[in-house]
Amino acid sequence: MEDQASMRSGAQPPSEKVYQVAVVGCGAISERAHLPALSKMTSRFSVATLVDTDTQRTEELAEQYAPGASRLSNYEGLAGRAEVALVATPPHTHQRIVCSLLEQGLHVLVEKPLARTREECETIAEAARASGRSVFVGYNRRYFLGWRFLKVVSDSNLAGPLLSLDAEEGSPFDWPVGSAAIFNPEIAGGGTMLDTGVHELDLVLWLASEKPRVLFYEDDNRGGVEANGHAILADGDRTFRLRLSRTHTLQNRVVANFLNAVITVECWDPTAIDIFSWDPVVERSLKKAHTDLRQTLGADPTVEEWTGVWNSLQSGVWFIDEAAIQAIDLLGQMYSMRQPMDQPWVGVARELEGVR
Amino acid sequence: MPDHTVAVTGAAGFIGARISEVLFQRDLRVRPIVRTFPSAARLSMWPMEPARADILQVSSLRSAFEGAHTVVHCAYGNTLDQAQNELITVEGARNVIQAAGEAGVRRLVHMSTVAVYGEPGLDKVDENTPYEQREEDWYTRSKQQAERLMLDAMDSGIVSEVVALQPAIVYGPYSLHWTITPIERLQAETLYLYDEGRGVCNTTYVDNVAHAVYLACTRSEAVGERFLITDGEPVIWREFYQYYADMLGKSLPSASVEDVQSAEASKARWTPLVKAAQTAGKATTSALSAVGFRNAYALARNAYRRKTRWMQQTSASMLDFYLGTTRYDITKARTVLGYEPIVDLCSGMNATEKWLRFSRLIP
Repeated sequence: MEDQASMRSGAQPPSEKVYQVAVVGCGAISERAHLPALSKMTSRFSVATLVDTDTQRTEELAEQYAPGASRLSNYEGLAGRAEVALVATPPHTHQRIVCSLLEQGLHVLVEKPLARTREECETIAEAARASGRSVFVGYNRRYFLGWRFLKVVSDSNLAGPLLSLDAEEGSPFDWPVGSAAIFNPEIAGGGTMLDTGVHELDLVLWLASEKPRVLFYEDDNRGGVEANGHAILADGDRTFRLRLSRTHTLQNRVVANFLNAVITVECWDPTAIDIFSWDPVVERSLKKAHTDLRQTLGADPTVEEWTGVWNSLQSGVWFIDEAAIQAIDLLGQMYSMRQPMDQPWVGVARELEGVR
Repeated sequence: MPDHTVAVTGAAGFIGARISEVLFQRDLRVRPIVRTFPSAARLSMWPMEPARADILQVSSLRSAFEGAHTVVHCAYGNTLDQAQNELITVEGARNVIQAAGEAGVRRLVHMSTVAVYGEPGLDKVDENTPYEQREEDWYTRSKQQAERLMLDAMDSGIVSEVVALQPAIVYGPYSLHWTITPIERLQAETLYLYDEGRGVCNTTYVDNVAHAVYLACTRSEAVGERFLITDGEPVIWREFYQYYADMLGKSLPSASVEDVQSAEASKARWTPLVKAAQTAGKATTSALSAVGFRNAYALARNAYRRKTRWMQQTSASMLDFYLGTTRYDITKARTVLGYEPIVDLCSGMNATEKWLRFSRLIP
């Protein structure tokens, strides 16, 4: 059995393979999550190249995290410079950049969402198959203790079957975007459901025993991209309700109702979990499972994510993240069933019609 | 219908965003101008492309105004820093005028306020009422300057056409001052009516402001004029706040003028002693906490503070404001601009309540 500690970074023997990494896109997620994580994993990854059209950003991040890395303003000459690329650029660029990197012979970890549509995802998957290189998708919540605990409880049947799941995530949008592209429907391809809701869709796919079907979807899109969305999906008899917002604060948690317990996990706090069961035996079992899981999972989800990439590359088995493709497929179904959200304060008063 | 682009400064704000939405729905091409792109998220549901500009940089404003026929100027100082607020309000207006002139903008619609008239103590205020000098009030002072700059810009030929709108108590979805704050204070039980709430409240639902802006953008009769804008039917503060209280199932407590004045006098008298006691109190609190009195002390202190803070924070000018009987006369807006309020208080509050529930600000 693999030593649990060896799952974590920083505990590896020096003889292990060190992969050269190219970071394509030097925005906030690279700065806040990936580069700090990679700097903790120098026995497995070395940041060899930083790529961004904003040369000031590459200089800033190189100085802070990878002084020896080369700085490039395009991603087309990375063959031979790196073996793995992180793609942390806006979603509308993913298909083009990921396919190019695969053709250059690099494995790719691309930030979620994989792409904007099922077709774009399939193009990437085809390029991955043709190149023999793997594509991983940055769903770092898969490495949150809380989210992973839901998976453990669901798979182990510790609390009985999952009956329903209610997920809410929202706050006034404050991600430091440098352009309005994220709000442009042609470029972004979607709003909060594509940008953030894919996390919740990924969780649904993780917990569902068969591909869920979309029962209902509504949002506030009036020709742009949705700032608020609400979906209900079903897998057999169980339902999954998702509510997302970029305009106001929601509960920012996932409540999973099992037959014998209710487990609540936070969206933004990897370790926050509330376990409640009316059966003391079940509650004790759940708390023990939680303690066991905590001992196996590192504290930094992004480090865990890169550890998964490293393990997969070491195995030599080709990989494409099918769940990430399914999430975009589900989202496409949701958009195709879209109903307008009831927001009577948004429209103009009927009296105005006569003033035109 | 003129086919022209309208750039809206302050488009991430409560009034600017709603103006953008309404003008867009009424077939104008709208370019929301924001200081940072994330703040434009509320407008992302519409196919409008926001532009970024810094109100203190003429060049960025000029780029944002390029190709616009009209600029609706809603941005003003709304930070915790008074000096910065004045700078943004006054120099921002000056910059908008210069950039509009340089970009060839034809019309400027300036979002002013009834506050330019101060608290004159009159039963009726119209556009001929002189500005009241209120040097101690940065908001009134800087909005007066900004409005003067705007109207002078037309006289001096920098911009061909200028219209100033002076709305009163603007409430509705996303309003911090007149919707969210009253709701939060009712929930915290720190909202009191002055003198039974008998003062006059000149409500203005935000859609009525946006409607007036539409008319100001499109009617030639508006040029060179300033217009008071309200819902047209003033109510008393009790009636206005009662809607919010009813949404929450709360009562509306009242404080007499004498209570407030007494609290004000008491504050002046006791402040030096309170400060001395606070210094000593830190040591005392530490000692009490050791024997378990700290929580009881904190509870009692907070209850007392909640009751008195509101009254102690009430300045004489706020009393004038809440007890005033001034009605803002919108006859000129009706006759010259063709303005008629399109949403009454009941309908406006109905929409506001639905938004409050959607936004989880009330249960």
